[in-house]
Amino acid sequence: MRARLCKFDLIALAALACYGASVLPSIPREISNVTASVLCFILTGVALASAILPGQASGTARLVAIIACSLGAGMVGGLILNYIPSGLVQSNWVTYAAATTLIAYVVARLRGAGSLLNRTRRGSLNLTWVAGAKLFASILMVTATIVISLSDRNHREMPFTEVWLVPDGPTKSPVGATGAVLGIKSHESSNEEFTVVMNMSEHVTTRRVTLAPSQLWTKFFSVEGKKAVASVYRGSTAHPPYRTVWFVRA
Amino acid sequence: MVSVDVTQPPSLAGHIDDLRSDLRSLDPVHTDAGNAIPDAVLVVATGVLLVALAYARAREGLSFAEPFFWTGQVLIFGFIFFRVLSPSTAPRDRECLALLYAGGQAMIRWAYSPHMFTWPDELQHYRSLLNVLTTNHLFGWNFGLPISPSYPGMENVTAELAQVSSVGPFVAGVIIAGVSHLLLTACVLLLFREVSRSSYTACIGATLYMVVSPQAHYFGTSFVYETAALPFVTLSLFFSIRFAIRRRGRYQSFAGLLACVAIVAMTHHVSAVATVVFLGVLALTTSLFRGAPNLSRPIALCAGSAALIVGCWMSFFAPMTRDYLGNSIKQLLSGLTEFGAVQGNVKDSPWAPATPLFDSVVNPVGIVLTIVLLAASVRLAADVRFARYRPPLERSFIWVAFGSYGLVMAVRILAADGGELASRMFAYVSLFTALAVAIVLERLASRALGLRRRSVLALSDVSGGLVSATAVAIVLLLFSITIGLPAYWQRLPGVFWIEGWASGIDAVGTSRAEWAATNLQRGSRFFADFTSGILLATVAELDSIGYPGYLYYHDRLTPADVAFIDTQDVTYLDVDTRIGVKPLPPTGKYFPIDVVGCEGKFLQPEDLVKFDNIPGISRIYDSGIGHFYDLRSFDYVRGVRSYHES
Repeated sequence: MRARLCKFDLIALAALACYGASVLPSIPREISNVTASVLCFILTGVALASAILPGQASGTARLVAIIACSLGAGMVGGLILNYIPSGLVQSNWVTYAAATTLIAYVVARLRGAGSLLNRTRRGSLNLTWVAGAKLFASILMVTATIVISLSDRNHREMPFTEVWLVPDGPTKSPVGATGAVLGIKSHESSNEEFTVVMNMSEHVTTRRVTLAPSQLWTKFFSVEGKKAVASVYRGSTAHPPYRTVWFVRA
Repeated sequence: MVSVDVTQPPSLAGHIDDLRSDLRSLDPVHTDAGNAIPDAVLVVATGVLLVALAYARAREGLSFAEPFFWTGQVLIFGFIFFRVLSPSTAPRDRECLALLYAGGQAMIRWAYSPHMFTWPDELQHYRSLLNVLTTNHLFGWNFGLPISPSYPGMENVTAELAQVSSVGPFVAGVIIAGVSHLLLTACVLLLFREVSRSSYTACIGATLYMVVSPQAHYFGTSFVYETAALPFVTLSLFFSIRFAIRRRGRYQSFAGLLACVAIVAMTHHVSAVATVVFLGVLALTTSLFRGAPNLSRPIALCAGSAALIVGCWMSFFAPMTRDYLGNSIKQLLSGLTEFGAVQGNVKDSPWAPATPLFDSVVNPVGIVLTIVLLAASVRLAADVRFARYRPPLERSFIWVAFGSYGLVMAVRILAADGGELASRMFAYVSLFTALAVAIVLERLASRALGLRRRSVLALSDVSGGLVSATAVAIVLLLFSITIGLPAYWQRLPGVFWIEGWASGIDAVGTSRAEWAATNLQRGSRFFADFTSGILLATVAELDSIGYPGYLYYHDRLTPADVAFIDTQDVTYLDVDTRIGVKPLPPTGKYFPIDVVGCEGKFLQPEDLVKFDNIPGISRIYDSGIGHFYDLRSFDYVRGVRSYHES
């Protein structure tokens, strides 16, 4: 039997190429991510859809087949990979996708998918300049939507600052704790100066901390006595404490 | 009174595709990209931009957000639906238009919360996804929604995307949810084409599905397991019908059915059960019609096979489903037995902000309109002349639509939590109601309803059938938005509502949950209000106790409260002080399970600050708004005290 190459064979070749590019360590990460995505979500879907619908089908039926197979392969694939010790990791996904694509390719070829694909003549797309302009304007609007949505933050939210005093130890229990981490995270709208007073029965320490918005400050303290109390003031200690945390050791 | 002419609509007869037995349309193939599609893309892009602007303005507290929102929504749907109905639109363009609308919906959904998942259900599934990405294995434990890991279908494919492409889990989740929504529309198109044997009716039905189902706008495009399961539910129905109708390729159809049911079974429990139920109902209904009985046996076989697959999954992989669904069924039954005493979401909680006039008007109009449309479809289905030229399966769909819509409405009005339950049921029931409504609107568009001059729908005689049908569909859209999620008080984002689902999640809560994830031991049990409980369970993997008893309801800790704490093996207690200063939440409750008799009771600030003054309780976190207490030292102090006393 004489084997004839057809367009559909490109699926298998592309799957092998993408697989190679995805697993070879010398390929840059950005490229291997793209090839792995193409293999797992496009080639697998197209090959499986061709195996299921080797003959001619409506555009919607083929679209459904490709997307459903792509998603379905991922859903079932996760279940299969779960039984491998390394589980759901990128290398297993691409191996699974490559194997699925090649098997589906063979099945589709046996069912005559390639020959039908070659025979199919599709009408040409008549895109006038007016239609092109409309599509271009649409792309601009979608881009504007994305920019507006991503750049938008909730302006009604109030600024605040988090303070915590967490006992050390594996269970983080305050009972009998010997040390603690005092932390401050500022969510204020501008740089803020804090005065931190750590009070442990007879031992008091004071520090000044300046934090920018979203900045985090942590400090480990050894604790003693029955109770450890940390008070954080905004600016000087003349005003009531801004935040107070404590824990009871005994 | 509307009288319905049941003969074939004359003016659009050419657009009801004559489908050959292999379902290939005899319509000429149009690749006319210069007509409907670029216009539609431009209109949809404009509409989406308007809605995104509305969201942005709402977040910034600026005016005109509402007009932007409604204009965008009506513009997109009105244009798409009019073009789908229009005789001048090519069949392939109609299908593209339906898919385009689905794409627009997905984009609008993303624009609602573009930075993170904010709906509690999404957060729960997001936890399952993060667990898969962290452990690289399935079936881990999820404190927020313990049943979620037993149905890992959606998380599998999202984890695949996140791992192979290196996009973040949130982006991967948004993409999978959006693609699933697009797939659902395409599947509905296929199903309706198979049932109605008309590409025209199918396109109208698929477009209407995204309106008739109130879930489609928001929940149906969210990162929840229903979203991923629904396309495969639809495909299951499609394959079972193909298996029943066609001799050619019937074993492939049966294999397709089994594969789709398996995917549904591993993705979502309710969808799996719904698939079996709908196949069973379809088998029963088809057995009742002349011309259709030969379909009932193969569809019953499909229902039996589906039941077997679903049963196997639930027995071997998700045994907790029985308890999970059993509790829901119990609640439903108890709600139904308390006829009239239990209110669904039909009646808003008295503490919710006042229902806008627009919603108050559109809601009853929408219900009446839907019932009228379904009644008209039943009138058609019952007529012999209609039966002569329409497929018998279509009539079965109409009857199922009418019955199931009635059932959903009964659940909505009578059952406890009926509003939520009904809105979830709509996603499945709309697979039938959308087609029934589409058949009526198709006839209205072609002026084939035989409307009398004094008919309530006389508008069709004034301004043309297409305009009338589009206007009716737009009313259905408005109705769908007003009864669907998010509710009117959070339809636009930006305003904080305590315990207000998506609008109850802000930087204060998420920041506290992120702190807990970094600093506290996973699996520690804690008391919290509803929103904090969701956030701490999903972000920090703490174990939320849904029922906090009277703990928050006194200005001092009573001996009964202390005894209650002792029985709960609890480590932490969370207090969001805003629940003491803001009125009761729009949802009407502070906690997942409230004390009987305390529903609707206001919490006062002194009820919450009492924990600061109790000896032994440690306050380990303070953001000025949120306080987090460690109760272990409280237990210890009491233990020491009782030892000395004894």
